[in-house]
This record gives sequence, structure tokens and C-alpha cells, in this order.
Amino acid sequence: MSVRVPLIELKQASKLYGGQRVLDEVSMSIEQGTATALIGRNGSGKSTLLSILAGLIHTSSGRLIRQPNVIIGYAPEMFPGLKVTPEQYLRSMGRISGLAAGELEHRIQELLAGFYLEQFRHEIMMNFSKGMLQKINLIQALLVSPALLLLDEPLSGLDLPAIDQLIALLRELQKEGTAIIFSAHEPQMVEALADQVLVLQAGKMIRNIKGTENLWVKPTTYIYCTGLSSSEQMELTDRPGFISLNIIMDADRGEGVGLTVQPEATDDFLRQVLGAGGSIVSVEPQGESGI
Amino acid sequence: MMALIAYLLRSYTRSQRYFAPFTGLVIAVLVLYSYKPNPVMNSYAATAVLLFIGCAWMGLSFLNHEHSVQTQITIVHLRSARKYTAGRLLTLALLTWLLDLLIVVYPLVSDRFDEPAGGYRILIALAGHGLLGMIGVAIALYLQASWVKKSSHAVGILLAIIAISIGATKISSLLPAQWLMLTLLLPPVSPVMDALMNADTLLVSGVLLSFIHIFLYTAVLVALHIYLSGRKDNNKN
Repeated sequence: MSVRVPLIELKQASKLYGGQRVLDEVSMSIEQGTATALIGRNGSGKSTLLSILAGLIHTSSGRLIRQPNVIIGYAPEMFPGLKVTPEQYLRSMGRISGLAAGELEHRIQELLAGFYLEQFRHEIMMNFSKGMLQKINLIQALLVSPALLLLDEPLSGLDLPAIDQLIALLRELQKEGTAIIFSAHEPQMVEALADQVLVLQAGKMIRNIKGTENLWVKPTTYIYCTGLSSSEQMELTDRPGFISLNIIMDADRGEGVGLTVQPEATDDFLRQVLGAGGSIVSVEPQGESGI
Repeated sequence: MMALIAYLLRSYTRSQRYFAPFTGLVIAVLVLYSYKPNPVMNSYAATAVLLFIGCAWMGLSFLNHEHSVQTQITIVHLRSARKYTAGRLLTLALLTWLLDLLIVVYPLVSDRFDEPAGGYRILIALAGHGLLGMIGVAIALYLQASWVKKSSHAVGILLAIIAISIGATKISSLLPAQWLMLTLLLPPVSPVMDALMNADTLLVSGVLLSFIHIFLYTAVLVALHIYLSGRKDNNKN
């Protein structure tokens, strides 16, 4: 049996800024060719999480495990208008990445054309619109075919043709084995791409939904249990039939876990929880699931 | 690394932040040499101190010129925050070396001295200017926006360090004996300034000693900065 080694893994990662916890014991595992959506309100920790995965921010506790020499493409939010042309800028970024001259020119040509920016390649970016800057931002992240692509609000400012183009391009990359992690507020992109959705709230990962089919209305079972450690909770997310997990803080019972699973897997999950020393508080059949 | 240096040079020159420190330095040197003849080593000591101030100023403007989001992107492309720091330092070293060369050569080609400078004095001047320029850069490393949030604080601290460094010899003569060890912590700008001024009468070993002192001081500052930059977060703001 072949064991799939995650491309990148976070284990109970927390981040504190001036004593304030902006990320709280987040664990995740990303494999080749998967697309993971990070959703949550502003300030929920999505950008911090992406910066940690990009290696730009260090965790205050927990671990980041990355396969050696993973090539990362990163498109952060709020790309600035620079006093250079797209061609000069992309050439610089490509050279810094170590791309060979011929390949770099080909990639620049291909991506500028793909994002309908060919005619602006010699114009200074300072006066570009938000959407045009976002396209340049995405292009720089895609210059060196990345094994891991991190996109912070990638649809921000994009027009409809560009959104379609981006989604098609990302699907293509995913098929070729690129792992994509993106934060988004638009359900359109989540539905089109994600095969895992992580819901963040105030720095905590409150739900982990696996499989796009589970984003749709279907009968499910909701299991409320307590007494599981973080690693035991993580093990549950890898079991067949798992849909989502959310952490519940209860004044009487302490921290609990709400598990949404496929009905046919209910018994298996109950056995697993009890076997791990957890306690079942309630089991309810539900008519729907979703984000 | 060459690609990074080329990119940083382009981005710095396009930002026009270089204009103030460069112009300030050029004006100061031109004013200093506005009359002639000038004593060789006294003039070089003065321009070396000007380069120290100019490089600290240029260092701060260079280190703060790139947008923090773009810095993140550059680091991801480079795959190392430490390499990025080293690239920025090399770019600043290159700019310092260029200014060093210009400032040392200018009075020679425009015949501003009262006597021929001679190979030894030119060599000492080149080394002295370069070392004082680089210590200015090394101090600026710790005052860039990602380290000192408020630019007014950074400028204030920089001006204080410049003043204390230049006046260190005078300050140490005023301090009680038990505090003298503290002066070792100060950037050794004034010993190099003194060595340049008295290069004609000092032994070569005396001049070299002051150069080695400032070189080691700068090397420690730079090495510590590169180490710390690998442990520091590269935030958007």
C-alpha cells in the first residue's frame, strides 16, 4: 500500500501578536493535487495562515512540516502599484526565482496573454486598476510552475472573464499535481475548485469539510462528543464518511466537537470516538450539510 | 543573487528615495571642496564622515523603499529571507563602494589638494571611506521600518547614534574611568576619523588597527542582522 506524504503539514500551529492569539492550534495537511479553501470572516486568521504556509511568518507554537525544496507560488492580498512595467517586474521575479531566460519569456508571454494584459506589458503599473494589479499578482505567483500555490483573496478586483480564466487555469494546475490553498469570500470559487474547505473563526479552525459533494444539501448525521485530544480529532477527519468538524465551547462540558458525517459512517465514527476514550453527548440525523 | 541585486537597484532608483541622501552627500562634498587648496588627509577624514552619514541615510531610505507586500513576494521567489537580507546588504555595499570611489577620486581629478595625494594615502582613503560607509549601512539595518515602526523614532535614533559616534573620542574623555568600557560599545567612527586625519604621522599598524576594529564591529552587526532576519516575521505591515 502506498503512503501519500503530505506536501505541507501544520500541527497545532498558533500565532500570537503582542499576546493576542490570531491563530489558535490549527492543524492541516495538504497533499499534491488538492485544492483547499480557507473561509471565514475578516480577521479570522486566513491571511496569517497563508503567510505561515509561505514561510513568511513563524508560528509561536506548533510545527510546520514541509517537503524539502517545495516550490511555492504566493499571491498576497493588496498587491502594490509599482513604478515598473509588468514585463520588467515579471522578468525580475522570474530571474530571482531562477527561471532560464527562454522559459521565462515564454511564461510571461503566455500568462500576460491568458489574463488579457498583453497590450499593457510596457506600461508603468502605478496607474493600473485594482483588477489589473491583481492579475499581475497572480501571474507572478504562477511564473514558476509551483508545487504549492497560495492565493489570498485571488478573485479580488477581477472581472468575470478573468475569474473564469483563473478558475480554468487553477483546475489545470491542480490536475498537473499543484496543491492550491486559497482564501475566498466568493462561493463561486469554493464550489468550482475546493475539495476541502477549512472554516476559520477568531483564529480557530472550527470546521473541516472534505469533498465538494458535501457542500450540497444531503442527509447527514451530527455527532456531538467530548473528551478527544487535538490529534484524535485530526484522525477523525481522515476517516471515510467524514464531512466536517467544528469545535464547540460549552460552559458546562468544556471543549466539545461537533462532527458531521455521512449517515452510513455513523456507527464507525461512534466506535472511533468511544474507542479513543471520548464521550458521546448526542447523535442527530440532519437534513442538510454545507459550509 | 545578481538578479536580486539588479531588481533592487532598479526598484530603488525608480522609487526616487535615493535622491535626498545622494544629493545631500554630493552637495556637502562640493561645498567642502569649493575652495582650494585643501590638506589631503584632513579633507579625506571629513568626506569619510560625510559618507558615514550619507550611507546611514541612504541605507534607511533603501531598506524602506520596497512595499512590504512586495518584500513578501520577493522572499517567496527567493525561497529564503536570509538570502534576501544578504542581497539587500550586497546592493548597499555596491552603492557604498561607488560613492566611496567617487568621493575619493573627485578631489584628485579636479585638483583640489595642496599636494599630490600619493598611492598610500589614496589607498588609506578608499579603505577608510568604505569602512565608514558600511558602518553607516550596518546601523541603518536595525532602524528600518520593519524593526522600528515609527519613522520619526528611527530618524531620531539614527541622528543620535551618528552624533555619539562622531563625538565618541570627546565623550570618552569626559566620562568617569569606570564608564570607559561602555565607549567600546559605540560605533568606532571617531578612531577611524582620527586615523585618517593623522595617517601621515601614524604608523601603518596604527591605521590598520583602527580599520580592523571598525571592520569587526560592522561584521558583528551585519552577521547578527542576517541571523535575526531569518527568525523574524515578514509581515504585510
